[in-house]
Amino acid sequence: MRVMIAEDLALLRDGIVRLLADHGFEVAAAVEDGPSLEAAVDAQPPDVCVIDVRLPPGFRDEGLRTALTLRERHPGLPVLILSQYVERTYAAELLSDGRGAVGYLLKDRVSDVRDFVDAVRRVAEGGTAMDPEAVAQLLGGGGGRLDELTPREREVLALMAEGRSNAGIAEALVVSQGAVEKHISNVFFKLGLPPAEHDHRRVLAVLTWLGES
Amino acid sequence: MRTLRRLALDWAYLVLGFPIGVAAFTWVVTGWSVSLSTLIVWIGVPLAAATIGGTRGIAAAARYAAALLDGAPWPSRYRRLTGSAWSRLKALLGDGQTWRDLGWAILGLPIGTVQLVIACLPVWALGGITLPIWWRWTGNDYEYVGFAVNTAGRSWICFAIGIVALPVGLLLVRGVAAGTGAMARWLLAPSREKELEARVETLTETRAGAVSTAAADLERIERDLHDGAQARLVALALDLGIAEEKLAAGDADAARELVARARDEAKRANSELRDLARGIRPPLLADRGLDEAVRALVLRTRIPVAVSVDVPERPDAAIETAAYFVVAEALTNVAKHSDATSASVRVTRLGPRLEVEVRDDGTGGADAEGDGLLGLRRRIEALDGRLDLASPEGGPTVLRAELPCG
Repeated sequence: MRVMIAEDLALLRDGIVRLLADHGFEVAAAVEDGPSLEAAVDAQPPDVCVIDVRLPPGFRDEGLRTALTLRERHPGLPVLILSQYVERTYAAELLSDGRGAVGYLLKDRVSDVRDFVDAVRRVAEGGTAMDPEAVAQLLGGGGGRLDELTPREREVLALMAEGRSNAGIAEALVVSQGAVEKHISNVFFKLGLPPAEHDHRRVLAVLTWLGES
Repeated sequence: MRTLRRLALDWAYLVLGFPIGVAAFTWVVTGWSVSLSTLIVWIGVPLAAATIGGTRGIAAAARYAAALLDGAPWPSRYRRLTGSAWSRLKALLGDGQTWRDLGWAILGLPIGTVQLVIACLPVWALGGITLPIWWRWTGNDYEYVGFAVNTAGRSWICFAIGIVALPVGLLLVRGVAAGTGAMARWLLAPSREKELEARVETLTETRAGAVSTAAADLERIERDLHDGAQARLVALALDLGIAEEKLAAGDADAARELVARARDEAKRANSELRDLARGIRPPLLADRGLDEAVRALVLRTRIPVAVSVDVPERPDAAIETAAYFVVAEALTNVAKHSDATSASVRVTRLGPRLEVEVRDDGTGGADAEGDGLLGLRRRIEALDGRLDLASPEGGPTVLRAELPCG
């Protein structure tokens, strides 16, 4: 699996390169700013990009803008954004094209090596990986139809929004998969979302709905 | 059009000058003669104080009327009246402005009269210009400046006089308004020196506030770092040190447990540092500016909040951050205390000022001296802005901040 990395802090960049290489990824490029990444991606798009939100020269949201530009040019290009902070606004922008294959994680999640590698894989395969904090913010606005959900349904929704599969949700909540499926169909009904079979499509539907509301 | 407006304002200023001048003159002459003549029986003392008070009232009207000339009323700077009756009296009599007011009031009658006469000039000229119409229309004979108007020709002569007199009259209106205005300004408006004195006083106060806020902030940050991230890093290093020893001794299981714990500590240290940085300058604000940052704040509020942000250019970081924290603090208070069902946030750039207003329909009774608002006020005053809270029992609550910008 080919991966490209844009991170300005050399220490962290080398760490991520080493970590991903150890887990069988082929690191095709590891650069320190947006334009270099764009050049590398345009030359030969990778299976997934890992991008820091803050990049030179302004250290604001250049990484996010680079990701959005790249996805415009290469629709559906999988990108995983790493950030020191989680902002609902940014999560919504990433999700807004409705194509999925996006991730948005706090930088410290990198230290949970297994989860992080899973997240990169999931995004590369077209799934989503949302940081629990981003999900909390998306859900936190509250109001409207979200208030109709039971506490359990909210838990299920939060885990689903992070990008977890039914099995993953069942494991986290210590319930059967059947129970999870029942909760999920309730959530979909209450939010007025059309039923969807595939895990990824379903998560995306929920996230898009949250990002827009 | 502009000249016409200027002339109309000047004319209005002159016309107002007469009643104000006469009132001031009559008041001080009567007031002071009565007070001085009764000074021996001490009744004169309170009477003099009352006379001064009344003069200040009339002077206030004159300062207000000055808005016609200068666009805004003149400020007044009197010494603050506090303490015993005696110290108040001393403040009244020792205040230079009291005597300047008196001088202005005495000049009120002659100057007011001149103003009225000059204001009549253009009216009189207009009368001449329109005389041919009056003469024909009414069929009456008139007298214009001692000149009997009983033929059409004579009425046209008056017309000519009016045509010549009108520009002269208007010029005099402009000149006398400017001249008498300058005179009144010299006597009534605080001198440059006084203005600067007052400014220095405000700055000294707000600077002291800023310094103590900054010191308190630094202390809090230092404490947070010391008790939080720093302590966690120490624990982490310790765990890693022990893990190293365990590894050397060949106890891999114990070492793994310690490394896992160290990783946990590192994560917590990071999250504490993140919260600390967020409290100093929120990242979304730094990245995208007020509009988006305020909208993100509003999204976190559970009641519906109407937002309007109209700030075409990004203000300085300090101003922007202060404005952001006004909204943040206000919305926190709305959520915590007000029982409001809806609120609104408005951020507008008005010329050189940034106005922030947060309004809710809650129960009111907010405390302006509370910790959060007090810190906010100091911060804003240090930036040369102001913070006002209106929160009567029963609501609504309005928090308004004004910040200088650009």
